[in-house]
Amino acid sequence: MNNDKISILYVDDEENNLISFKATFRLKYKVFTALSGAEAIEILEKNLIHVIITDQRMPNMTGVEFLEKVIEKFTDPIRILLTGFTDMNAVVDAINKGKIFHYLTKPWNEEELDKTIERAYAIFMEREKIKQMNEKLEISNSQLEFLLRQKLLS
Amino acid sequence: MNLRPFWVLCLLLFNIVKGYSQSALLNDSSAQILIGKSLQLYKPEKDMPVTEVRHARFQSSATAIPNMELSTHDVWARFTVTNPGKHTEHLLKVANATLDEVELYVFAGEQLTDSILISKQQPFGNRKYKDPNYIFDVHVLPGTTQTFYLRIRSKMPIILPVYLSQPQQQLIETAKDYLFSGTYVGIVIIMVVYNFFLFLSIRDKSYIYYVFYVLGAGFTQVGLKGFTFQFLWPGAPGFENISIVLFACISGIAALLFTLAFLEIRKHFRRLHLLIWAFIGSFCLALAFLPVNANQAFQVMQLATMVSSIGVVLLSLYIVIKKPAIASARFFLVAWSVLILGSVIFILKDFSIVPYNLGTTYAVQIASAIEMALLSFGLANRINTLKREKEQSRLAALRIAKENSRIIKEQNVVLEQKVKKRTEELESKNQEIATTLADLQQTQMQLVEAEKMASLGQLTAGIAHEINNPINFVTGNIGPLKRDVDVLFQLINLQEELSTRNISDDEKMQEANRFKEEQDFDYLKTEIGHLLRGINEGATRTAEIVRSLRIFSRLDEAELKLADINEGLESTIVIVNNLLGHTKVIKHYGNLPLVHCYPGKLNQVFLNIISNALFAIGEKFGESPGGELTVTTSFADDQAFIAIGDNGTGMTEETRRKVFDPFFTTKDVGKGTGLGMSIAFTTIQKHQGSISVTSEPGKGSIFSMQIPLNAIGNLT
Repeated sequence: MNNDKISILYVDDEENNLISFKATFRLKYKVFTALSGAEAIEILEKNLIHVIITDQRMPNMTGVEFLEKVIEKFTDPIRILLTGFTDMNAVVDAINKGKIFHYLTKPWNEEELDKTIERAYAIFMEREKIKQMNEKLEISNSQLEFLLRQKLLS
Repeated sequence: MNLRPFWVLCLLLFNIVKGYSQSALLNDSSAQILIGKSLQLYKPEKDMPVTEVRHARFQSSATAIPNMELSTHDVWARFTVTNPGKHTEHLLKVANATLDEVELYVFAGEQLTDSILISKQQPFGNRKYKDPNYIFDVHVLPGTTQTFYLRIRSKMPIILPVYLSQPQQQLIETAKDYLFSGTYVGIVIIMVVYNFFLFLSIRDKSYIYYVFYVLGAGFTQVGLKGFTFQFLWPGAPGFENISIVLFACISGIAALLFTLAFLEIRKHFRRLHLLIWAFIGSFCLALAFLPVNANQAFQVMQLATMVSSIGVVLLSLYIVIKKPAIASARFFLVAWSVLILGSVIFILKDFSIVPYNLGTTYAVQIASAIEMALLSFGLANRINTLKREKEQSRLAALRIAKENSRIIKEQNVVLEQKVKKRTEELESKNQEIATTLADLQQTQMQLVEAEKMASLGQLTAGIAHEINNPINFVTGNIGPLKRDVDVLFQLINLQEELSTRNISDDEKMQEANRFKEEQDFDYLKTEIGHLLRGINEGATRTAEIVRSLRIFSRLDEAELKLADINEGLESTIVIVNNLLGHTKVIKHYGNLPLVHCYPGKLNQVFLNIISNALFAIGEKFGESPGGELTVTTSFADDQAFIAIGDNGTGMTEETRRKVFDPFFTTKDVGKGTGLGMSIAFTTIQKHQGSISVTSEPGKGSIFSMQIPLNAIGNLT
């Protein structure tokens, strides 16, 4: 598999949805699926994930609860909530607590989902780029500081 | 009526003058001769035989009609008759029927030659001359003188009108008596009959008292003349002896009772009324004496008659003066005065103050007849008075009735006005009430509608959630499936192309395998299976949800149907699936027959109860698991039993009691209408079933319903 592929984690308690999602996007993205939040966190710990898509309505751990947990350990993945359109409370919670990038309603529109994933990935990449640039800047900064100190010392 | 002691005194004075004896001279003329002045009288203190009496000292009578007064013993009269004429046969008459016994003794020289006794002790038929007076044959030969003795006994005053006459002359005298007494009897009968009929028609006691009085008086008067003994009871000398007193007492009592009734003494003069009763008492006393001693009884009666007649006259005089308005009193006064006048004349004749003739001997009868007539006039006048009074009272009654009807009419008008006013008020109130009722109905309808909309909202939300997942993977699977199918088509195309290519089979195989490898064909196969299974499942689940929805959405069906309650419960649980969360649903469905009901309405009841149960579970457990919803159905005795229980927060006793009240809610404002349970209650009642709830705070609640299978026939 191509390592450059965007890696996506989709969490849903409905296995059919997982199958459907994977079948739709497996060629384009690297798709991970999980039937529950707990399972998803295990996957997160082992793999680099760019985008997390989660269903809100799940037994034991709701989507928002799951996202809250994710933020504690993994800040990088862009978070998308998939929900029935009447769950306004869940959406509000998702924005405030789960800090989501976007929310989508079921049933999903493949094209819209795809675009959203791409944009999420773009943001991810931008952040990554900024992060890398910051790192580079820090390095060059430290190099410059080092040079400046040497200059001052000399 | 009869004798007075006063007159007795007068008589005594008068009697002192004594004449000498003189022989009565017979003549041949037709007139009868009154021989009173020729009588010699002897009134001994004991009964003596005639032989002894002959030697007693007789005294000459001073008057033409000797009055011997009362005597308990025999009295004697002696007379001599000289006959200068030619006739031998003469009659001696003692014209006083009240005497009890008269005996004539005839002497020839010293020798008693004959005696004739006429007595009331003997039957009337024994008399030779059938006459109430005492009539004897007197034989005096022409040119001779004969001496006679008369023995007389009576319990009444002894008056002795003694006549000598020739037989044919006596017949004329008797005829005169008959005429007078007959006339009197006639008058009495007329009065009795007339007034008796008046009594029958008027029913006034006065008339019957009058009738008795007239009868009594008539019998007394006729009896005094001796006619009653002659004609009515000739064979009963015993009765004759008491008849005068008896009838006099009857007439006295009747007269007094008549006075009481006629003058309305009781009404006008209370005290006088007692006096009258005292008079009546004295007559009763006389009656009481009658069987013991007739003489005594006669005297008491006489006294009572005298006292009460004076009393009654004075009384009527008093009334006339005191109350001139009472017309009957005037008649009364005049009538009684006439009677007393007659009596006075009668008595005066006995004392020779007025001449003794037919008129004076019948004075009492004449006066009695006049009195009866006058009283009768008074009674007749009384009819007029009664008529007038009746007329007046009728007029007064009419006036009162008219007045009453006028008052009633006025009151009617007032009442009608009041009724009209009240009716108007009531109508306006009715109008208000009708408006209020309409408003209330409107509000109720709106509230029920709101509750229904709330239910529908819940339904919609639930359905949307439930349907989203299956639809999601049906639509989501279409894309990849299409793509996978494209890959298959590509493979087919490749193999077709390879088959036309002139290369070895191995090369062909390699080429195909390379494509398969490239497309991850093995996975593709699995994936296609998964996708198809997903589509199938999604479609099935969607269909299932839609079916539940259809079952549940009988909410608006107003029709009666045979419905499966278990199915209704199941569909309701599908609807609330999104509310379940971690709540475990435990179902114990019994074997229920189809129930005649409004399924939509029942489902709404189930939905309301289950949402409340889930709300209570949510309150207690929040997001954590542990909540349990238990749905149980069973069937017994033509009744379906449904119990929906939860292990939520439960209710306090106060909440439990109010749970079916409209608008009662424990939810926050805006979260509940407070109508759900009320509607549930009404709905179950409409099904002629019952709903009850048991609950324990902190442990949960159980709603139990009972619905009859077929009671629904009465539902509307």
